[in-house]
Amino acid sequence: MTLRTTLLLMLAAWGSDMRGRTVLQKNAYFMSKLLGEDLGFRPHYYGPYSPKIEYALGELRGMGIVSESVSVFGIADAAGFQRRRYDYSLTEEGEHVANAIRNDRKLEYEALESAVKKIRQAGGNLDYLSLAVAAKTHFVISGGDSSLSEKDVVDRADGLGWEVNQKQVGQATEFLGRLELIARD
Amino acid sequence: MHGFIELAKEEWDLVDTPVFQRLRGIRQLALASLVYPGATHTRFEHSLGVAHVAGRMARKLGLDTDAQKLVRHAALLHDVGHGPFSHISEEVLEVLNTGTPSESSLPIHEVIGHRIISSDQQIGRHVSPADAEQILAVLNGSADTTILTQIITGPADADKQDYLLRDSAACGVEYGAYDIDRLHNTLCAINDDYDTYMAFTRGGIEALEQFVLAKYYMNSQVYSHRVRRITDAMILRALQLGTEVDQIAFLRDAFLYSNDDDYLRHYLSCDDMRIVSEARSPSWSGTWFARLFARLTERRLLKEVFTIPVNDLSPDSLRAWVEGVEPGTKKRIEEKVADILGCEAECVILHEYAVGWSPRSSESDIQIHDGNAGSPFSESSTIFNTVEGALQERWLAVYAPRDNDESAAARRLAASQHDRIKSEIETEIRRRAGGGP
Repeated sequence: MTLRTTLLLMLAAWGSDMRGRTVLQKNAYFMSKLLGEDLGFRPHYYGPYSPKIEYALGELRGMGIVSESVSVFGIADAAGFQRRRYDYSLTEEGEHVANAIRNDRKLEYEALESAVKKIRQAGGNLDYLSLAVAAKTHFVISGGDSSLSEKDVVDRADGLGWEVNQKQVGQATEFLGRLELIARD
Repeated sequence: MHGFIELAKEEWDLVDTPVFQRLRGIRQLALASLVYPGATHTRFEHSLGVAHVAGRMARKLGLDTDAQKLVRHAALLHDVGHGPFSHISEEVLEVLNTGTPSESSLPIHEVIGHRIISSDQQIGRHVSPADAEQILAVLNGSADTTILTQIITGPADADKQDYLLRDSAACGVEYGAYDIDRLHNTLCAINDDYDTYMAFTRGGIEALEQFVLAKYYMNSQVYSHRVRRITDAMILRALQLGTEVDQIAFLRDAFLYSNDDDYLRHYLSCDDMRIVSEARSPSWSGTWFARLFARLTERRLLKEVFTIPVNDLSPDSLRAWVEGVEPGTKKRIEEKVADILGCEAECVILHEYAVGWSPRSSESDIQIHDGNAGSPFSESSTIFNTVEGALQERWLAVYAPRDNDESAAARRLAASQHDRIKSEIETEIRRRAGGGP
């Protein structure tokens, strides 16, 4: 399957708005680990990031298959900049195309659906920062450093200037454990 | 572009190698000079410019001298693997080598570049194997420190910074102008325990927005200019037919990738000048390669006879575009259009394009750092989303000869022909998807 087909089916399996680019990237990252597929992730400030996923998303938007809506969240700082979040969902044409592909690619779709279900059950409503921490932690561990403790993860988030509390980090590491992507004590 | 550029001795040594000097024969914008006559600049001066800009960025980011040297060397060599007519060669290589195992998952043109850097004897006299490995790591994104790669190949990299200014000046337009000094002034680095990343302070947001606008205008007005799209498509078709149909030996040697030692020699023997010169040779008279290049050099270009946004196609047709249209389907569409227009199918080109989108080009995740935490540029910019959306719109176009129609009005298709072409495109796509008659 092309990457844009995979991304389209992933959004279809997700079943509701994918809220935020970081959330989309991180969920795609965990999907790639659960399915054993290389979707082009590489190191990034917010954790593993795939330019290929970004490009595929842009292609789907350009075709009118996926819509993007922008939510503005008040004023971020004294300079008056507003923070924005980009949410993604399938358009009517996108639903039609996804249904047609799903019918022909039942096995692939079932695997994606199963991965999405596992992520949802494991993650609940993890916010984007906790997802980012979880993804970054897993990326580092899978790169060879398996000695990270929960405290290391807390320290690491603090080192990035992220205001993530221990509860969020705890949720993130438990999330990885429920996905069976790290061993839990 | 950048005033005086100073090079260290080992950088002069690299510049004086035959593979680097070869870049003087590869134009940055292929045959965009058919639209913008001044666009004759080459990958040679562009590579020097990128090295200069990368060095400025590395110094501002506080990299140590070894890292600065590594970044400058990577910048100098980043385009050394380019084939004739720059990015068109990349497409030719991908089209002609589908299914050919390459040494890695990288696109073939990148594999070629890496082979040149790691195995060219002249480069090897000035770059040790260990240094070559580090240069390749920076270029392919596997360097120990992410910031090194981000300077060379990222959303606000030195490559983009140079070519926007250079291409704009060469084409005689102002679209690519932006405040590079302000951009560099607001560069900063973010560190965590494991890595270092490139970012900009909040004061750089307007400079970044100007940069994004420059990219948008250059894409929409220059890089995606109708005539430039047509000339690029004609060059690609000429090289493809020359290799596959005309079976011209030097083209096959250069564009059918091989792991053997002779391959690089054949590839490096080709630049723009050789291709144009060979196309005029009596040896290839009557071939599609010669005929299409004659159209280019005499400026008897194909015309854009049909264009439609991809999302105006029927949903069934959209599905095929999502999954990827096979080369066979595109060929059948071109044959049907040739029948409608009464011309040779080899001269009909179906082209899908976006105004200016690439995996590297999104600025959405550039980090804005306010001294505490980083946040994505996309969350802080008021204009980013509008520009990004415009760059992602996908279009379908058909180029074909209209030599016998003397007036511009006659060359434009009648509405009925336009509707027939749209119908044929959707029919062929649905047939491929199994939903058609």
